[in-house]
Amino acid sequence: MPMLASQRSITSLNLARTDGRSLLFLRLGGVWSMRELTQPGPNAQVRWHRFDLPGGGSRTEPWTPMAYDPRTRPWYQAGMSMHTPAWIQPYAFYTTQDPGITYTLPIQDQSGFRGVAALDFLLDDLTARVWSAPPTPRSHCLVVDTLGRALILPKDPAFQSTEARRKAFLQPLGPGFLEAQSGLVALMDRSESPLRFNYRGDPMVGLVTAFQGLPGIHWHLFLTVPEEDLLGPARFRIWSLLGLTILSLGLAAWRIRHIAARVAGPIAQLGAAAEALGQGVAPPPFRSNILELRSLDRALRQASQILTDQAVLQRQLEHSQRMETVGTLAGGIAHDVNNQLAAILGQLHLCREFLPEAHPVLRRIQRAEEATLRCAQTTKALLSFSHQSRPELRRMDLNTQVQETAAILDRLLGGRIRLTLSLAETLPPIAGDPVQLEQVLMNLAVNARDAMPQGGNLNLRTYLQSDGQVGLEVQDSGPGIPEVLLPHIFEPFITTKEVGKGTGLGLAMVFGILRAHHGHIVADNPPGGGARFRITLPTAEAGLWSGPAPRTDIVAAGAHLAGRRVLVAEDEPPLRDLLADALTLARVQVTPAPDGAVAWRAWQAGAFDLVLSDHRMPDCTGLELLGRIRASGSQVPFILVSGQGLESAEEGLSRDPNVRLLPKPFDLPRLMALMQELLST
Amino acid sequence: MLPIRRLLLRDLLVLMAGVSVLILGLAWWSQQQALIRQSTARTQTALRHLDESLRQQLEASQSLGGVVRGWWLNGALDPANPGEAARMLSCPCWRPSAASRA
Repeated sequence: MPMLASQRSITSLNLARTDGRSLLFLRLGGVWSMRELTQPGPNAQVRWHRFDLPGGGSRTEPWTPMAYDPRTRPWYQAGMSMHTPAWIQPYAFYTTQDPGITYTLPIQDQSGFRGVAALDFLLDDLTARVWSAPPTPRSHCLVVDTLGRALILPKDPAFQSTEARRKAFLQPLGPGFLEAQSGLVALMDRSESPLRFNYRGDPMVGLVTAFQGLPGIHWHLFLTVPEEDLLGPARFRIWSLLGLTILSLGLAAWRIRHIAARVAGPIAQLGAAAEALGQGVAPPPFRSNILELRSLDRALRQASQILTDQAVLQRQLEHSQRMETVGTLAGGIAHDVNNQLAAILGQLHLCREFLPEAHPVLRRIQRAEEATLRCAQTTKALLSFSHQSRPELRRMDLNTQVQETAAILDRLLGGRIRLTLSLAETLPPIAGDPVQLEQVLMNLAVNARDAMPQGGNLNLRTYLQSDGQVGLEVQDSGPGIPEVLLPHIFEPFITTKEVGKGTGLGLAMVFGILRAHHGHIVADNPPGGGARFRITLPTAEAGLWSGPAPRTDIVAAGAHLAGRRVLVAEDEPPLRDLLADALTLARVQVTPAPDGAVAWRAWQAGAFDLVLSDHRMPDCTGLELLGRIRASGSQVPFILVSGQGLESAEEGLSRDPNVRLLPKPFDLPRLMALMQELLST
Repeated sequence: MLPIRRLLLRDLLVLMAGVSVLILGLAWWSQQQALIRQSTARTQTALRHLDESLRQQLEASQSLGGVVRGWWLNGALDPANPGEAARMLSCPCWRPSAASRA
C-alpha cells in the first residue's frame, strides 16, 4: 500500500534536490497526482502524472513550461537553514495559492546537504477537520499562531464560503475580525480560567490553551462554547427543581394555613368561652381533639361551676344579710313599741280598775286594750321574723281559725272578690298562735286583693298531707307572680305592687311567722292561672304548744302580794311608773330602778321578796342582774321581762324554778298571776 | 390585638419564607457554582480533545516526513527518479507512459 494513499491529512509532499529537480505529490479532490520538474528556472518544464485512472492506472501529461524553481520557495529556504525537521511559519502555497503550513525536513548526511522534503497542510483542510467534530453543536474553535493570526477558523456563517475562509486565514485577530475571540488573547497566560462573554447575543464560555510540543509550532487553541450547549439540560433541571420547590412552598403554605386554622379555631372558641365566663354566662360547647385545649376547656368549666356556686352563695349571703338587717331593724322597733304598748295596756287596765263596772267608758277602754293587743301581736310577728321572739303556741283547730279569719276577710276584700272556703272535714289540731296565723291569712288575702283590682276568686283550702302535717292553701285568680320574682318572693322589700303601695315586708313576715311555727310556705303559679301559696304546719302531737296563761286581777292579787318587797328594774320611765303604780295598788312595797346597775346596787342595799326586771337595759342587762343575784347565793324569785326572745338563755332559765319569763307587751293581770305564783311557792 | 390565627399564620409563613429563601439561595448559588465548574470542565475537555486531534494529525505528518526522509537518505527515494518515487509514495502500478519514456 503506497504511503500517501492512506494519508488524509497532508495536501502535498514536495521533494527538492539541491540541483533544483523536484517532485510534487499533490492531492486534489482525494486523488493524488505527481508533478515532475527537471530543469528549474525560467525555462523550466513540468509534467503531471495523474493517478486517477480506473483500476489503479495512471496517465502522464505532456511537458509544459513553468517558470519555477523550488529552491526559492519558503519551505526550501527554511529547510536549508535548519538541521532538524520542523514546522515553518504558514504561508500561501505556490500551486493553489491557498494558505497552509509546512513540515520541512532537511535531507543531509555525511555527504552533505542533498535537498529538502516538505509536507504541506492546507489551513482550510485543518479547519474542515475541526469543524467536522465540534465539541458541541454551536462551539467555535479558533487556532492562532504567536503573531495572533488565524490558522483555524471558527465555524461561523461568515466563513462558510471557501473564498471567505481564504481571506480570513492568517488575518490577525482584532477590531473587525473575530473581535469577541480577541478578548481571549488576554487569557493566554491563565488558560485554566474560562472567560465568559457575549457573542451575537449568546452567553459564551471561552477557554484558551497553548498548543506546543511540536517542533516549530507555538500556537494557541481557542474554544468558545455557548453556555446553552453546556448548561441547557442542567438549567432545565434547575428550573424544574425551582418549580417543584415553589410548588412545595405553596403546599407548605396551604398546610400552614390549615394548621393555623386548626389550632387557632379552638383557641378562639376558648377565648369566647372565657369572655362569656367573665360575663357570667355558661361557656358554649367546645370541640377539639387537642389535649391541652381540652384541659383548658375543663378548667374553664370548673371555673364556671365555681363562679356559679359563688354567685349562689353570694345571693344567699345577701339574702341573709337583708333578713338580718330587717330583723335587727324590726327587733329594735318592736322593742321600743312593746315598751310603749305595755305602758298603754297597763294604764288602760288601771283605768278600768278605777272605774265603776257600769261606767260607759269601760267598753271603749276594752276596745283600746284589744287594739293594743293586736298591735302587740304585730310586733311579735316582726320579732318572730327576726328570730327574736317565740310565738306562744297553743293547741288550736286550723279550720276554726280559717273560718274566724274569713269573717274578717269578707269586709276586707270588698264586694268584687269572692271568698270560698274548702275545709277538710277532720283535721288534727295544730300548735299555733291564733293571732299570728290570722295575720298570715290577712297578709295573703290583702296581697290577693291588690293583685285582683277588677275582682276575682280567693280560695282557702285546708287539707291533711300524706306526711301527717296540716296544709293550708291560699289561691287567687289574679295574674300570678312574675317568674323572676318567684325565687325571691319571701325576701324583704320584694313586692309586686306599685311604688308607695307596698312595703315588701308582708310576705317576709308571713315567712318568719311560719318558720317560728316550725312550718314552711311555698309560692307558685298553678297551670290554671293565679298565684298559689301552700302552707304546711305541724300538728299539736309534736308537743310544741302551751296552755293559756293564768290571769289575776290586781285587787285580788293584793290579798296575796300585800307587804311584799319588789325590786322593779326598767329603763323605760312610763313602763317603770306604770309598774310602780300597779304594784302599789296591789299593796306591794316597790323599789324602782332605772337600769341594771342601779338595780344591783339596790339589791345589795336592801332585801326583796321578788325582782321584776326588764332584760334590755343599759349598763347591766336583766340576765346579768339575775346572774349577779344568783352568784350572791340568793334564790329570790325573778321575773325577766323581754320584748325579744332570749334564744339560748331560755333553756338555762327554764331549769331555775324561781325564774319566769314574761314577754312584752303584757297585761297586768298576767303579771299579777305570775308574781302570785312565784311568791306562793 | 392580633388574632392567634393570624399570628400563627404570619409567624409560620415568615419563618417558612425565610428558610425557603435561604435554602433556595444556597441551592441556586451552589447550582451556579456547579454549573460553572461543569461548563469549565467540559470546555477544558473539549479543548483537550481538539489539542489531541490536531496533535495526532500533525504528528502523523511528522512521522510520514520522517519515513520519506529516511528513504531519501538511504537512496530508496530520489526526486531524480520519479517512477520509483511514484511507486513508493502514491501509485505502485505506475508505469511511465510513452511520452514519459520519450
